[in-house]
Parts: sequence; structure tokens; C-alpha cells
Amino acid sequence: MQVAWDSGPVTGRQVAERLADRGLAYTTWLTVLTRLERKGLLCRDRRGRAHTYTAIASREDHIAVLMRQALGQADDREAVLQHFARSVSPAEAQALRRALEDLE
Amino acid sequence: MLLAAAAVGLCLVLLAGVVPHRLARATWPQRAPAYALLLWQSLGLAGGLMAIETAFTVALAPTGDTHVEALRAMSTGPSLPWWSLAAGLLALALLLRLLSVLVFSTVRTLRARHRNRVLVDLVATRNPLLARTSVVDHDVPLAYCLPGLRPRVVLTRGVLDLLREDEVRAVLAHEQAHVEQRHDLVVLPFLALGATFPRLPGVLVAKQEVALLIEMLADDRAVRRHPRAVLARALYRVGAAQVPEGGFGATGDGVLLRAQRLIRPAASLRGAARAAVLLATAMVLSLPVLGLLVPLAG
Repeated sequence: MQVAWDSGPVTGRQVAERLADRGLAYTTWLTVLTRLERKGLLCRDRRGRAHTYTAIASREDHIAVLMRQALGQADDREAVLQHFARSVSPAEAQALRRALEDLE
Repeated sequence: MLLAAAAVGLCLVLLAGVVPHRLARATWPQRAPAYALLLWQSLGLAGGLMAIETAFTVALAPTGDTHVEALRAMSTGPSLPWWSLAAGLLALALLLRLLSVLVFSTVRTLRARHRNRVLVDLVATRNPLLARTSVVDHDVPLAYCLPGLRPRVVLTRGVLDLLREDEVRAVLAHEQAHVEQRHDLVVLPFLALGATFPRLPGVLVAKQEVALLIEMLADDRAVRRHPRAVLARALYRVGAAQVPEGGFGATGDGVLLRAQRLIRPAASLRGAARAAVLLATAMVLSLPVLGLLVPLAG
């Protein structure tokens, strides 16, 4: 996925070359690409004799969706994920800052 | 038996109304969040059971003086008045509703969690300095965890930019506590109650308090290894930096309360008081059983 995001359309051969340090066979990368395609993350074109794979959405698009989910306004959001701290009002922020200053 | 129904109903009103409000206003739960959570769990369970029981008791009222007697009489098949049948149906409907909501809300939560986890795994990078943490490249400072069997602790780059390293570690310890102590399971029954009785003030209060108490529990766990002031400062920075969501009017969600508690820690609850809380929990749990066993002829 990383490779498809960084360098546009890629073939299985190119992925295998780019990630040669992982020590995986070319056919393994083909399987990975096919699986990503089935998940709707890549689309496949025939160019010459090899298939090339292109990312359907950019990394930024995916991050935007993720942040929307995490910050969403759904009532059950807190059930899905547990936030460290939600936003505080300006008055609360001030009260907090003063309490922290007293401490130091 | 109608008297019995009235007694059970009265207990129900106490469990769903007065007790939650009193408990929410008390200050001792902050000094022993785990014990308070136990009491809330028992209130939720007893409340749910007794809602069903009240309707059930009314349904059985015409046929006998105790539940056992009434059930025996029922099997011989006397004709029942319409209100008894209606109450019986209500009891059955409540039971089914509670169970199905529990199943559905769990499935929905698991699905949403799964969707988010797939995205996290797709876009997040691993930071070699932060074990078991997924870092998402985004400006908004956000720290959360996806609990469950395949948990993820997620930080945005915004948090790493905003906080010092010791603060980041304290935040991670807090999230890791959620994951390890399975706080998601603690919240689960209250989601079912909330979905079944969305307007009941007692249930709303319970949901809010339970959410706050698990945060305090995770804070307590985090400050075992990290200075209190560091975690408090992280709370302040993350809370103050987040953009208030448009029209949502989200208040601190207890952030202020949690920080004050970290800055000026109250003594933890004494042994006798802890025992009293446990006793109260046992009493609350015994209520639905007593409601069934005590023959309340009247």
C-alpha cells in the first residue's frame, strides 16, 4: 500500500523490487496486491503484459475518514473508542491552567 | 400480590431515580472508583431485572399470593383478566428488548471498532520509541484506544507535537490501562440500558458517571508509574487544544474534575467505607431475588 501511495501505479514486479529487503517472493506480493484489490483499496489495469495497481484513495483521504470516525458526533462514539481527553471550555481551561501553575 | 408489585415497583423507582442521582452527587466515588463502579454495575443489573419483575408480578397477581403459587395455578390454566395478560406481555417485551439491544449494540460497536482498526492499520506508522502505539499523521491532537481482543492505542502527530515525551508516556499508560482492564466491558451494560430507556434520567446519569469513573480508574493506573502533575498537564494540553466541535457543545467531560483530582489527591477510601460499599452492592443485587421470594400476601 505504501509503495502504491508513494509512486503511483505499480506492478507486482516493481513492488517486489522496491521491497526486496523483506525477502518475499514476487508471487507473494502478487497475492498481497490481489487481496488489497479485493478489499477495494487498489484498482487494477492491464498495461502491456503486466497488471498495474493504483491506489483508489490517497493516504490523506483515509486519514480524513479515520479522524471523522474518531471525532464523530455519534452518541455511541465513546463506546467504540475511549478518548484520553475531550475538548474543554475556555473557562475550564483557565481554571486548569491556574491549578497547574499553583502546583509548580 | 398487587402489594408485592407495588413494593417491587417502589424499589425500581428508587433504583432508577433517587439512588443514581445521589450516587452521582457523592464525592467518595472519586476516592475509590473501582468500588463505585461495582456499585453502579449492581444498580444497572438490579434495575434492569426489576423492571421486568414488576411487570411480571402484576401479571401473576390474580392467580396466587406468591410467585411460586401463582405459577403453579397458572399451569392449570385459569382465565386471566386482561390487565394481567397485558402486564405479562410487557414483561416479556422488556426482557426481549433488553437482550436484543444488548446484542445489537454490541455488534454495532464491534463493527465500528473493526472499521476504525482497519483504517488505523492502513495509515498509521509505528514509532520504534513508542511500543504498541499507532501514530496517525494528522494535526489535530487526539489520543484514544480501540479496546477489544485486538486493541490499538492511537496517537496523532498533533499529540506528539503538543506534548513533551514524559507526558506522551503518561497518556499511553492511561490508554493502556483501558485496554488491559477491559473498560469497554464495564460500559457495555449501560449502553444497553441507555438504548432501552433513552429518556430515563437515572440511566443517563449512570452512563455519564460510569464513563467518568473508568477515566479516573485509568488515571490512577497511569500515575502509579508517572508523576501526577505530568498526567494533569497532559490532560490540560490535550483538552485545551482540541477544537470544540461545531454545535456539539462538548464540555470537558470531566477533564477538569480529573485534573483537579490528580493535582490535589484526596485520601483513598478507608477500609470500613470500602466494606460498606461492598455491602451496599450485595444488598442492591439481592433486591430482585428478594422480590421473587418474599411472599407478600395482600
